[in-house]
Amino acid sequence: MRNKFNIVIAMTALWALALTLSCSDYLEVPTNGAISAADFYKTDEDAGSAIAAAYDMLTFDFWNNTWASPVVMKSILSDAAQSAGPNASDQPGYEAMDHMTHSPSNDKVAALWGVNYSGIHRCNLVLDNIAAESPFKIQVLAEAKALRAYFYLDLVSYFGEVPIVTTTLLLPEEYQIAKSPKSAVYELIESDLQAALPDLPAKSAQSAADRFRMTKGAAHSLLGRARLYQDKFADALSSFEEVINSGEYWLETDYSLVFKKEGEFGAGSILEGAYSDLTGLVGGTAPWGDQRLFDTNMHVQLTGPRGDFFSPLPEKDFSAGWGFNLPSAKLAAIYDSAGDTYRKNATIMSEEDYLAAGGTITGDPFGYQGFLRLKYGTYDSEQGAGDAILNYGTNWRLIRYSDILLLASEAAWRLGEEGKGREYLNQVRNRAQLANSESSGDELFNDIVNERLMELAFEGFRFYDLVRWGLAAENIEGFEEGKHEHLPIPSGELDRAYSLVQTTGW
Amino acid sequence: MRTRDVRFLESSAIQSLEILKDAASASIYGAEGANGVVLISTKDGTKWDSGIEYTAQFGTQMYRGKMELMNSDEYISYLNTAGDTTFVGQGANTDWLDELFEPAPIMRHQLTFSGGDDQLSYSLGGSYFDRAGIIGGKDRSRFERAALNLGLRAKVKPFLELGLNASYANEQSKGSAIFGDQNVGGIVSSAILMDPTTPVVYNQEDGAAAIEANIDNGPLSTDEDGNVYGISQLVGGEVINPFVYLDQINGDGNKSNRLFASACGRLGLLENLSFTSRIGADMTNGLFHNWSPSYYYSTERQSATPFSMFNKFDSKGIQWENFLTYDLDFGDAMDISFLAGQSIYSNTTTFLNVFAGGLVANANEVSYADGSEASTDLTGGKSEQRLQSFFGRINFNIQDKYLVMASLRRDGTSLFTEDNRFKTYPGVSVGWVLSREDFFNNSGHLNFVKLRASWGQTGSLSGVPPGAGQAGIGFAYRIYDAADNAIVVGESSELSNPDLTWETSEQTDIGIDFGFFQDRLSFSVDWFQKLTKDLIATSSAPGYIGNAPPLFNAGTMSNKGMEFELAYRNNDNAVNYQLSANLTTLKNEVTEVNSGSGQIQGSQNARVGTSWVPTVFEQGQPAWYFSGYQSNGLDESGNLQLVDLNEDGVIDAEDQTYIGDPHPDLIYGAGVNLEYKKFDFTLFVQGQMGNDILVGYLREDRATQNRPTYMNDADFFAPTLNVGNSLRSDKMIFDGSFTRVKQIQLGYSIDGRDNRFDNCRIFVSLEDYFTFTSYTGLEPEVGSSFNDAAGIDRGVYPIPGRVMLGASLKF
Repeated sequence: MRNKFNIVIAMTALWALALTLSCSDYLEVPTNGAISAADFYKTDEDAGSAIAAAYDMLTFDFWNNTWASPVVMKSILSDAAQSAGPNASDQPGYEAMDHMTHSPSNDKVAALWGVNYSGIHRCNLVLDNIAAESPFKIQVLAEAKALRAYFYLDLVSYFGEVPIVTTTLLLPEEYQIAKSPKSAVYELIESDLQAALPDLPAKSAQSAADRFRMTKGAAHSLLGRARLYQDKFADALSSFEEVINSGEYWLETDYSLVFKKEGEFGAGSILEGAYSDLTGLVGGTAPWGDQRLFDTNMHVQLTGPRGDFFSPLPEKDFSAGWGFNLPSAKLAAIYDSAGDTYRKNATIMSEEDYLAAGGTITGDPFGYQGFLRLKYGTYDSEQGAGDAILNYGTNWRLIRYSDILLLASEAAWRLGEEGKGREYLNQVRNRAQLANSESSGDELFNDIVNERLMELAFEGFRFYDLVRWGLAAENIEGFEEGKHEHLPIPSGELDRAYSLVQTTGW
Repeated sequence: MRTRDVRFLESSAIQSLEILKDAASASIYGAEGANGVVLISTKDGTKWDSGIEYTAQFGTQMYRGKMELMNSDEYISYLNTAGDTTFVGQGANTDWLDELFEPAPIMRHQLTFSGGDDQLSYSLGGSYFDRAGIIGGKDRSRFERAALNLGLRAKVKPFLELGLNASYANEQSKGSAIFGDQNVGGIVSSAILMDPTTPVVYNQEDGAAAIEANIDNGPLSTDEDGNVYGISQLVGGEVINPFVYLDQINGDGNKSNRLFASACGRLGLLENLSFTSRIGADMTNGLFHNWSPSYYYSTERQSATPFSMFNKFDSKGIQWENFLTYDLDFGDAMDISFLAGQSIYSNTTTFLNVFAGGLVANANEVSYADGSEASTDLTGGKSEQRLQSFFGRINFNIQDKYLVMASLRRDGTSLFTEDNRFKTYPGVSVGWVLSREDFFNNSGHLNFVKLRASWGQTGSLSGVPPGAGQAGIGFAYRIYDAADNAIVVGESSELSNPDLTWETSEQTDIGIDFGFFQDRLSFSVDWFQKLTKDLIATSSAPGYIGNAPPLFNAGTMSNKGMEFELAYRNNDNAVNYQLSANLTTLKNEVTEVNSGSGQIQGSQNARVGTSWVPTVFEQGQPAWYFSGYQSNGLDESGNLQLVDLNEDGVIDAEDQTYIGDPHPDLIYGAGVNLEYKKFDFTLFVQGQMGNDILVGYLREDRATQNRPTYMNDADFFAPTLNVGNSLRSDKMIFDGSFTRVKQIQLGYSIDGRDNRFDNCRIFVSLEDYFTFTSYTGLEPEVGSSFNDAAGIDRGVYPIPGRVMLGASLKF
């Protein structure tokens, strides 16, 4: 008996010892569902995925359970569009922006802030982690700088003074960052774009599939815009002329096709936010509860004419949507006074034309001023498989050649080079089948103002154009000078960042 | 065997339940004992005579709250006064809470056989439990469980004992989507905020216009009889007719099989030395199935096609503990026992989720991912974590008079980076039984006095998910290039914190126990302090960080107070009775914050509405106190005056300050047990005082929502559609004190006759039936599983009152 026990004791001791020793790496468990950042950012493919994360922020639709598209909210802020929708209490955030009653707690304001900073963070991750060791990685680093400039340009123009974040912040003690003056933000934008330019390809050097990526043309366009916004007119003009003289871009003949699928990445397209209609999204699969919807352009559906009020026009390829972002009567009047039926007919549809095409109107459509929007419209042919209405593949045209021509025209006018100003302006007018402008002085400027609205309506430029021209108060009802030039810093942001103070006027 | 979830255990299978609150005694029972350890010993037959016991209970559950919402007239008048003068509503006067809640049945059966002798004893039980929810009806909200329990204990040899406890449960639950504490898209909060002028369903005539206005958008949700569910013209977004949400709950729900087993062997090596090995397994596999019909409610709540979810999961927890115990007996002078051991624990969960969209029909038959014409989305994953511990303990017991225990354990986890994995946790406790001293005069009324003191540390992982310490890149999203080829997005879904380490709880307890009148009256007093150091929390970072913030060790929190327990029992008279009462005072304070600003905002888990996080963790204040605007009465037009704290002329986030404390000052309970002849009676009451509740079910961005009646009171702020800041003010803070009668039970026993049975007892009880509170919400216990969201009422699912009738029979 005693012997037996000794054997048992010895075995137990040995076994316990063996267990302890062999378990030294027992706690090494891989994390599934993600790969370690230390193992990422290595290959060209990693770099492609990492920069894709930043591009993903160009097509943002949905933020913390709320519809929020930068393109659409910028449009609604302007005098060219009504928030509309079924009634005032659907999408109150858009409705408030329409009437200049938005507050720091507006969900769309928070989204515009958040989306841009998410984009910046993703660019910073690329810049912090990818080494310039292959041609593709060098290009990706340049794309990250150009994209970062895109996001900061959005922030500085809409929010004014904002915090500058240029590295990945990890721990709470690093989180409190004060706002920087606009000049510092613009300085960063310019230096990022200058640094990116040598390593970005020309559009003609891109493969067909790569045309969603940043190019020299896009970077020059952004640089010119940033300079123009700072009143650096000569530098701005020289940047715009880099684009104009590159020979990479020209105006398509048919304006109405520019915004359709067949016009994607066309001759006049400098940067697009690319969606796909191939994902077969259905109601249930749409990640409604997620922080963002992805892949398809849900805002096309959200901003189609509301089915409760407007019957679809199948023979015109035109479906019903959820009713937001309707044209203002003022926009139509501006087309009319300029005699621009060509672009008017491509951009909006009058009630008369709608009824003539067989449409019927029920009830009293909310926010309706007698016109429906055709640009970025709910065209059946833009839908993919799945629940059709959830599968619009329509890309946002974020930078177009005609926008750059008009900005160049404006810069030239500011510099007193009226001939050049008219030349660029008239290129855009001629494509729209309008005669050359012969104006000069303030009249020429006024022509540029109206041309930008008629050419770029619903593309998200009008509001900030009016702000920087000092024309917002006279054009936008409810606009208070000294306040509405900027969106307020989102209230949630002030709650979390003690370093921030609210923008002056708010 | 460690587990976080004991729902699978039937009460009849439990032999004893012991709660270890002081750190020194908890420390030996594994890592993560910081919140206390509940030791449950299940029955293995040893202490049972051979016998059969059968218990059955039937009952009904119901909503017992008294929340009052505005009726149609009040609602319309409120909105009209607030400025929405055109609104007339749809003519109905719906009490959505009244419509939502319905009585629900509950039933329980248990049958246990037990027996054995010194060598082998057993307990074998079976049970069935069935409970419907008070929202959604039996088809949509139901929990059913059938379980088998087996306990065995065998003395194989004088030196070898073996034990086995196993339970198998088959569970089916429906209605997991019907939960409270959710003010964005919740069913409960939708019922609170829904427009009362909208009918639950439209009737044929009055509803024609409303149906007509929406019918073209898609199929409208209907009840079983085909009546279209009412659609509000005024309240939008996620606030919809709650029955439309309920209509989306179809299918099998959760079905799972759970095996929970532990085997134990105790080997006597020497006379005083024994070796114990315990191995336990907790294995669950299950399926989840739900489908939703195609429906249209509003632009934001619709699906043009039916869709289903069909998920499978598998979870496996394994624990293996080994320890040696050595007892030294110095006769009457002293006992010393040593314990040393080691344990490992691993938990692995794998899952596969199938999302099938575009089902070919609104039918259960094609909802198992086998009838999808549009898209099927598959996601899956695996998560694994491990713990490894080494522990030792010494116990001195000198003549049952002086008791000393010291323990030390070292815990490691796979969740943190290598340098932060292991922590060492000591514990000490001493006891002095004064009443055993010679100088103690036992002849008086006081017969027992014991002084106790303990100090110890334990660790907690606070639900840290795998990967928290490691910067990980996820691949859940795609972008599409210009030729529509997908490119995988490699994104860091949240920031990581490589420095993250164990949360440590350090508890000190000094107490004294008294026994009077031969322990008939007992009384104890404790002073305690629990310091939670390196508290693990998620901070909500500013948006300009560009990503979700990581978990981090946020600081130190102190909970201290006094605890009093008083009990009296009398078994000498015809009426046997026991009276007991306990009272704990609590003071919660943050003593250290590890962030540059000295403050940490609550995480998104504490979010109220779509953007406001009201809780703050700040030095010198209660943990996660409510921060908002102080109000200073009303102006002439009845608008709430908010205090411009920094006097800069504007009311903004910088004026937000302490407005409430979610922690109670006092927690108490009391019980009465009476036996008189064949009657028995139990009363058990518990409650708390001094905690604040933040009303968070109202939405800042839904100005036309319905509201509780008190918002019409003249001394509340005047009706307004511009609700923003007033909902972030101290007007939304309410006293959350309550006293709840947890149970009143009356029983009657019949002794067996003719050996047909030993005993039969029938009983009737009211459970959670009476609640005394001034709080005006659905339920004063508004708890959340997240510490930083404590005390926020986002439309809590009320605890139902229950009326139960039961009988037990022993053979």
